[in-house]
Amino acid sequence: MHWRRIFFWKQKEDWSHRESDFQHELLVHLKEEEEEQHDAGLSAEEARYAALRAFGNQARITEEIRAMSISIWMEQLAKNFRYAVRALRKQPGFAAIAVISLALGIGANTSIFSITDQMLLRSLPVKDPNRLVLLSWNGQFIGGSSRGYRQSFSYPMYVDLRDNNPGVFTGIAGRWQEIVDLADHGPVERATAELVSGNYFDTLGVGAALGRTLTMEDDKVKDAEPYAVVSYEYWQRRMGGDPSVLNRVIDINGHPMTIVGVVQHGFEGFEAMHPTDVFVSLMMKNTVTPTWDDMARRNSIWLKLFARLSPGVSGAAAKSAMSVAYQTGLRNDLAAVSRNEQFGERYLKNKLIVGDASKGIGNLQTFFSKPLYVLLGMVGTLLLIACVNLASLLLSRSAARQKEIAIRLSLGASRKSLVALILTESLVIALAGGAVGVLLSIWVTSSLVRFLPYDNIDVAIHAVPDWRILGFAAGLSLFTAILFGLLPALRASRPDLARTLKDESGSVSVGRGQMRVRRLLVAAQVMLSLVLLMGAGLFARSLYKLMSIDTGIASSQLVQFTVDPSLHKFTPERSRQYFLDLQTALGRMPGADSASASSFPLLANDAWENTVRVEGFEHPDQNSQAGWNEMLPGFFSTAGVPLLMGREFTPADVAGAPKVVIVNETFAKHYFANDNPVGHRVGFGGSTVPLDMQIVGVVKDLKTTDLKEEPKPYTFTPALQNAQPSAMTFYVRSRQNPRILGQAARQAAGQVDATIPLYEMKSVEAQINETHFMDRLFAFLSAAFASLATLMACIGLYGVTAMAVSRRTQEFGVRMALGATRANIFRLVLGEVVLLTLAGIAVGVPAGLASAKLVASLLYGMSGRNFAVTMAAVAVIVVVSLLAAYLPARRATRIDPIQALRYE
Amino acid sequence: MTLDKASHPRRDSRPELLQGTLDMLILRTLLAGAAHGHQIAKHIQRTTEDVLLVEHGSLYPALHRLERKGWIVSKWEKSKDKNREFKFYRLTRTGKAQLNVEQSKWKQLSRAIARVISPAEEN
Repeated sequence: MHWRRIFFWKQKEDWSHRESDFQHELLVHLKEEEEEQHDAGLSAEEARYAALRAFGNQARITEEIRAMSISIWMEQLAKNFRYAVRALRKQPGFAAIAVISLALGIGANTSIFSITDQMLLRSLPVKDPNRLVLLSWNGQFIGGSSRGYRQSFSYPMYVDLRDNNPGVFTGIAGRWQEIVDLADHGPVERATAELVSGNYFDTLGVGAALGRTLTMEDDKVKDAEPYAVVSYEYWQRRMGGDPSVLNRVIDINGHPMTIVGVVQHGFEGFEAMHPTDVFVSLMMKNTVTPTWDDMARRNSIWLKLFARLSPGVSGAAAKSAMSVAYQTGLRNDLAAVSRNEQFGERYLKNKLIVGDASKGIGNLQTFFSKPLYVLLGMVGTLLLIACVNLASLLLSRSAARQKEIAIRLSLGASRKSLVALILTESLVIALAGGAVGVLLSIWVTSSLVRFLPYDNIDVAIHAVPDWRILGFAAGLSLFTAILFGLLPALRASRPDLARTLKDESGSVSVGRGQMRVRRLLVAAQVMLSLVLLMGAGLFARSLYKLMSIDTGIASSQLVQFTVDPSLHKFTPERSRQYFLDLQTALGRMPGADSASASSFPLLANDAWENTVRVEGFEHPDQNSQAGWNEMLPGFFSTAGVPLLMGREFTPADVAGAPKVVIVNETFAKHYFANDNPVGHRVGFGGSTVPLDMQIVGVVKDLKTTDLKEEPKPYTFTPALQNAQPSAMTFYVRSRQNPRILGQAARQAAGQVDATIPLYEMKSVEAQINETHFMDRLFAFLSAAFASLATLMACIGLYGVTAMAVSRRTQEFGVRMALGATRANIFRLVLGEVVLLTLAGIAVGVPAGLASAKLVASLLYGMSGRNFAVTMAAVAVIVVVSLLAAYLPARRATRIDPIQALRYE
Repeated sequence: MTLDKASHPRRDSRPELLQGTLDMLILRTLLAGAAHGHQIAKHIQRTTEDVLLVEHGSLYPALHRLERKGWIVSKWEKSKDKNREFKFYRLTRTGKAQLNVEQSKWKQLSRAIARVISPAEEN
């Protein structure tokens, strides 16, 4: 089969052939003319010129003929196109199924690709992003830190690195993102601020759309650089793109800041998924984070660093050149924080790491990369099934048109033009499918993005496709049209002319070869659906396991919200009083049982750890880290966490009173084995810190950061003993409907102090759902994809069985005439379907198990090899295929032998 | 019908061929039998006593167009009198039918034009 030559290649070949043919014709003509002129008495030379003169501009003639060929080709294409559209409109059912199944496949792919592209693939919109590197480290750490600390540095360490940079970087910049209260001559709003070092914009190579960016000049005097630069997006969205925005004074956490510029369009901070609204100098850290300064502390690790490689320097070279500067910093750390010698030795072995930062960085990107690739795999499979479905539909359609095609062929249509005609039809289907798919993807993307529990994420990820995404969708459509339209087209254009035309009954006769291809396609569909079904089963089972985890919190009937009076210039004393007043007011609401608060919200992926020193526990080699949170009195009873020993915090545990701490069960077991920990002393820090806190109680383990965390030692301290209280998340227990309770809580809080806004009001159940949103997303999407896939496989099975039945009508008639019962025939038809399904299952189960290995890391508490899930998926496929085959099989049993035999 | 770009009167007294007319003349020429490009051009020139000069710039695209429409077919063949291959054009059956259509159209048109140019002669 010369299929390669049939469409484009052949066309091109014709073209060049035609042109050389024409050139030859012209030459002959010229020669003739020349001879004539010569015969008329001109010299050979003169004759040649005369001939050329008579002929005129050869190139122009060639050009004209070529243009004619192209326009004729286009005309032919347009004609095929019109024909295809007309033919499809005559069979709306077929067209709808084909277009919809393709649209689902393309839509799902476009939207997952769009999210992947925007989250993972796109580089930061800065100058030469490939030269940007991210600094991190590994090894021992000193002091307290939030999550992701190995990508963080203390500010003094940053200064050491920056000032001792041997020239391998053109700049090392630091940054920190924080939510602030921002007021622009109106109500207070939440905005995302990024604290940046003076060389931040310079290192990135990002300029200003208006005014200026921040420079080293703004990085000099602590607490006295009140200048802000807003992002272009924020300027447009919140300030209406007002050109007179420069020198306007806005309030950030109640402090005036002057806007000195708008950042160039497109750049919204270093973390693409967490767009920054306003940039402020690191010198203003006290304004942005009023409760913790830490600019001089060597054991507070928080600042994120990135750098730009100097020209010609590789990442590896930069890393080794920077090790001296890093060692200096480590020594300075040890000098500032007293630790024993063993620790010092280990600490000095810490290594600086230089990694790629061309795409910026965010925990989100790391977190999402695996899930997104898995989703891409799933939607890819779905598209494949849709395409197989399409190919199978096209095959049966071309079988039905064999007569028409045979007539066309015998009337002299070339095979090439017929293939072009049929291929145009699948092109029309693919383009329509692609167009509907893109529209569908806009909706799917925006719903998926809304599903993600992140602020501003809908600003970062655009649902409306750009040219990259449109190109992707168009490419996908063309690819499917050609790949899956070509085979049916080639088959259709080669019917057995004599036989097809002779067949007067008008019935469709289908060749053996075609049945074989269709059976193969259907088996492939069964196999692919089974793979998706197994995936869906795994994700559903994993989600179920996750949802049945005991959080240790009585989460029903619990509502939460967050307040932060420190952002409103409250002194620590006033903040503490506010918290107590609010607690009392909330507890007095009708229907409320009790209310309390913690400084880190529960199950919100937000946590802190400290090194702890425990009285009587001397194992210097063991890691003695413990989680930490702080609470208002009565927290554990409000949250429904059982107290195992001792007492809860009371309003008497305030600053000045003896320092107390409550530990969890795991802490008690780890540090005290079977002893009663109550009464023992602990301290936060290394082996030399004072043991200044007394354990007063032990609570049962509870999940604090997310559902999947393993139990670990935890310490809880009274929030009223904190010298610098900041945000608190309140929890209210009530039998009221959460929405009504929320309104009541807002009212109660307004009466305590109307200036403090309440953030993130939701039920604790909703918060828990957020922590496993990824698992729910996967369970939902994989179930949706698997159902679609199974539905398409079902259509495929039905089609192939129906065709087999109509092909074998006569045979069944003979069989029945010879005494076969209806049950025999029924079994005969079903047997074939069972065979196809079994073939699909035989390949599908190993394929499913192999792909399950790839998603195992996304599952909770189970491996990819799950017998029950596999069996359930197989059972679904078997039941569905039998259902699909039932109707055609029944039709086969109703064949009237006499009628069937009369057809000859 | 195509209008010439030049709007000023041409000095050359020989009339320009209208596009459709050339097609008709080619078909008419081929009615007598197969011919190659050069022969066609010469034939038209001779039979019109050099009034109509066929420009090659229009002849070959016209031949190409007619072939595309299926009114003529072509084939490389040895000429009887010369030992050289020429691309010979032949009229097809649809081409013959088309010629009839064109001719009757042309007669109508020329009669109409004649009536406008010299109304007296008509009576």
